Amino acid sequence: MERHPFSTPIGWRGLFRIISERFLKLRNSRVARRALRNSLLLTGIGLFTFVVLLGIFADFLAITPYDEVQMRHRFEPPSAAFPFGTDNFGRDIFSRVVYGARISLQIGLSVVVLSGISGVIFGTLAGYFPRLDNVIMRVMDALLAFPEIILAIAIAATLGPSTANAIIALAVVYTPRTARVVRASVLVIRQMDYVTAAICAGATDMRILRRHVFPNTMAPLVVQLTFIFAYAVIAEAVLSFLGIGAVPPTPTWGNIIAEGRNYIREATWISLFPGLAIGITVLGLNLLGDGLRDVLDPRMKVRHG
Amino acid sequence: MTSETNTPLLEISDLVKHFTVRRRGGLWTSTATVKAVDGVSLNIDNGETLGLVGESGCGKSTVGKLIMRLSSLTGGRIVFDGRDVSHLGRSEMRPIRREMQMIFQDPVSALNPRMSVEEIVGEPLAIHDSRNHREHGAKIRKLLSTVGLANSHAHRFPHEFSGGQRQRIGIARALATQPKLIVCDEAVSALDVSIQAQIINLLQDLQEEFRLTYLFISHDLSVVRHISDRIAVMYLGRIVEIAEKKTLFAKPLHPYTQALLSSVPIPRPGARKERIVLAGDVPSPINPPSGCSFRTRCVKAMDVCAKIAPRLQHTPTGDLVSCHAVELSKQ
Repeated sequence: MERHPFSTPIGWRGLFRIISERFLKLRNSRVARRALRNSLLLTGIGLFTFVVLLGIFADFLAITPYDEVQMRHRFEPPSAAFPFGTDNFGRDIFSRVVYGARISLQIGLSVVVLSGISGVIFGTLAGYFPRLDNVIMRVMDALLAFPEIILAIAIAATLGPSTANAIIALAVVYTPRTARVVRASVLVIRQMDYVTAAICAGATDMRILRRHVFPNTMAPLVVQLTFIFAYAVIAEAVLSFLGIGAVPPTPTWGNIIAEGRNYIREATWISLFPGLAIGITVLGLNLLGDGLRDVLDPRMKVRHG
Repeated sequence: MTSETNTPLLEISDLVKHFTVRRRGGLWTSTATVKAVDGVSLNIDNGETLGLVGESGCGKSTVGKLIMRLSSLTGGRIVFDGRDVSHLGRSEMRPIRREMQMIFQDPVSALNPRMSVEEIVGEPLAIHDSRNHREHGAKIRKLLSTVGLANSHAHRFPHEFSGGQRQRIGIARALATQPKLIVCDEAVSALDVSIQAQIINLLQDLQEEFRLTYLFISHDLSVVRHISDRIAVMYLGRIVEIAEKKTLFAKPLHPYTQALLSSVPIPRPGARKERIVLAGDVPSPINPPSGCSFRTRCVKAMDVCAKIAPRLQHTPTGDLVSCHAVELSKQ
């Protein structure tokens, strides 16, 4: 069974297997085996990793600074010097898109962390303590009643344009989603015999939540958070397109598209490349989320959206 | 050793548990009361095994849960080891929980899939004995070998085990705090017959070794017959008969017990026996029949059965039965 990793061409799948077996010690895990057979998941991981690497190595990839104005090179189509062309100020679109990846991923990750934490808190309280259930979930329903993007715009516009405010707005908007997912699994877990056994053993609520409930809500939560990452990337682009996200000249995919909007007929590349970047990121995340759902819990067939 | 041999380890009297259910009907939702347990009294002596049998939905599992104080009681009293535990709060219950543990029916849901065997078996120790956590490793290994598992199993996770092995892990967890009473709620019902025998033998060995007292809740009469000293038969939230195993199987007094016993197949080809087949379904516990709750299906039902609910009466052999027909024939 064991092949030497370098004796034969191994391909992506082999590489993933080596990573998961040698480095993550997942040799016996059914999850890892299912993951390696899931080509959609592997594609998603690949696409998303690619974007993350772009963001991490932005400083090395973008040779021209993203805010360097070169008036001699305005509206230049993609070329060897400017792979994605230049904009109306002669700024390098490639540099801007690569740095935009960093901003988008930072915002996406922050939203995922914040809405994940608040979702776990509210969802756990609602699911575990029946008295709090109605109060918390009706507030969440009220938040869900608004179209997400409209609510995000409203909150971000009220707080004023800045990256931090965009993150807060999006975290508030996506909290009901995570809270509902967490609550649903807490309701199921609470009925499990191992929770009863823990009560019989004299465990406190805190211990039960920490040791029994929380670890078992992780699988559906991680799946949901992957989708929220994707939504947050889109929503952030919308916010900065409308001018209520990160403030220019900080490049984000949304405000690059917004700036290119006026020249879309003559200089399509300005808006095209950040648009493609959004597309690749969201596609990667959605494939990742779908794949994770299949891998982590094959019985979990709840559609998102 | 401290308690005298003639005081029972567990005494329950007039245990009542009502659940309120909502019924949606048109514009308004009305509430109804389900009398899941409706006046159950029984004693369990130190070191004995009491089998609790009955159809599904008769409230036998609820009795187990009430004894473990997993849900609050509507009425009645539970005295465990000389102490009234019926209304103790959660933190007051904690030290008592060492003494009473539970084994569950479904070995899949009884073990947290994210915890290793070591963590599962060690959890009661971590709660009750957190000061000596250095000795826990040795204790866990000892528990595992007691229930027939290997040391190497300690770091594995529940999904790596078979149903019988998982049940052994659950038993090891129940033994961790050296309890006096173990409530086995359908503990072998989810297992294959061959595995059932192993687990029952294990339970019997453990009882001998640790002087355990069992409340063995099951719907399976042959299993209960094998393991129990005495057997209590429940019907619709009430106990209809409690008797020594031998007398119950040889001479069942209550008509329901008679019907129940006649439903057990005899594992011998060509064997014939008279079967009492009960007519109708179990009445709803929301609205049980007046008087004796079994009268709607009873072959010996009389006028008095509809009026007066029979009480548990001592029989000449010292057992208990609640039936007007039995009382009459006795006189």
